[in-house]
Amino acid sequence: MLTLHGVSKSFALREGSYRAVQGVSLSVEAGSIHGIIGASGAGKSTLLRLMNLLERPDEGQVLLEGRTLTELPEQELRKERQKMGMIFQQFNLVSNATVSRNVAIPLELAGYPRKQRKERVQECLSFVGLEEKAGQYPARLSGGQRQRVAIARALANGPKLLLCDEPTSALDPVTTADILGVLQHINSELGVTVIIVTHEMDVVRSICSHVSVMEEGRIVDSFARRETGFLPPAGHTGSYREQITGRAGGAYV
Amino acid sequence: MFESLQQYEAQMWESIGETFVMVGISIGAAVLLGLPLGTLLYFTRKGQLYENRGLSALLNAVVNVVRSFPFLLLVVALIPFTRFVVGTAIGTMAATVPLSIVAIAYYSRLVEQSLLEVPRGTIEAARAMGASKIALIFKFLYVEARSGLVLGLTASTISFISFSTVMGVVGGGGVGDFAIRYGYQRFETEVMVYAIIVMIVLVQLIQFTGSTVARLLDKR
Repeated sequence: MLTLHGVSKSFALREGSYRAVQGVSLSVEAGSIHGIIGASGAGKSTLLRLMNLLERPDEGQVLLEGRTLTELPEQELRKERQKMGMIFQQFNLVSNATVSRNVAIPLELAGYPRKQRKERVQECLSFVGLEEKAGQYPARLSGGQRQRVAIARALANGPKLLLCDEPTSALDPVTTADILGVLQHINSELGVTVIIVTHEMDVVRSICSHVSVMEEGRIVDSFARRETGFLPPAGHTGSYREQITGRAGGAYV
Repeated sequence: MFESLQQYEAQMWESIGETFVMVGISIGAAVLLGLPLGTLLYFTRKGQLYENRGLSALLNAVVNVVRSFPFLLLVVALIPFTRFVVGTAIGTMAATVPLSIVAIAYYSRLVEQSLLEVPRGTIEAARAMGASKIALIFKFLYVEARSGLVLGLTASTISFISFSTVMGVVGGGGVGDFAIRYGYQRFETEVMVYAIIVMIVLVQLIQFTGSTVARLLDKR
């Protein structure tokens, strides 16, 4: 689905350059829910931004279904981005636009037929269970509802891939479970591949089929869920894998 | 008191008309040219989407030079340019030229400030959706900054009214010029007071309208 080949990204700082992502290669399987976990500052969010080229990698390639995004001219890249949805920790809705208008914007950008837009907006809002909020402004909604609007907006153009940047980090535990349920539903019902960047172990435990662990700009561990759950590592290392598999405390997988 | 007002009523109305022409054209210039200029100032800033040091420095220098002129001197300095644009350096239309130039510089700065208040996340979301530059500006930036843009235009309009009062020097007329010529220079204090009251009412109305519109537009 999505492949990264040795991508790196540095940022210029006053005291020299900071290497946020260093030579990461990663393959995300179609139909999976792929979690990227790590401490803050590990480069997770930068890695996610490299996937839709919000940040251009200094080196390496990004491939989406065999097309090399890193070689596309700006205009074609925009078309490719319309096939990928993205949601954010702070939701990033247009606060001066109603809920339905927010969902309609990506349709306009993609040149979706005018007459069918309204219907499509309704469809997306009902998928996230917010039809009755269509005329409201985001300021009147709760955090969980805003993230649902953001999800509806990301789904509008029928993407194959949904990028999630800390989607539940600004939400309380109950709302978190709720939003994770929506993401899982999107994956199972619509067949959308989901990539989630998070620092929350529970997010990975509850819905991810694959996990990559990031540390200091590198992927240091990758593993997949088996039928029995995530397999624990052989030795005791105090790693993310242990915490996810439940050895280091958590009781469930 | 009312006798002197009746005596000058025609001139009063004429001068109000001149003020409206001068300020109206300046507002037009501010929106048509100041808004894009301010947007360009915003985009070329360090750390913004189309960061461009050279262009940014150039635009900033131009805007600052225009704004650092004492307005009266700018009017005088621009006389050759004004003559080139409208064919004459005297009269109400001629007065709109320096006024419009100041309006563009003044409003562009306020536009830049309003746009800086739009959260970066909103712009990032727009880019992630595959928005073109034009779509980013009109469907995201201006939508999120709209109440600030209206408040900035309101503040600018009030400044333009103030600037327009010195336009008597090039025969621009207007309420301020009326107050000086008929009120101050002819020792008709009532006329001067009357003209000042007209100005006060005008400014209050504009501010009230601007604030109300900005509040209604702001859904954040």
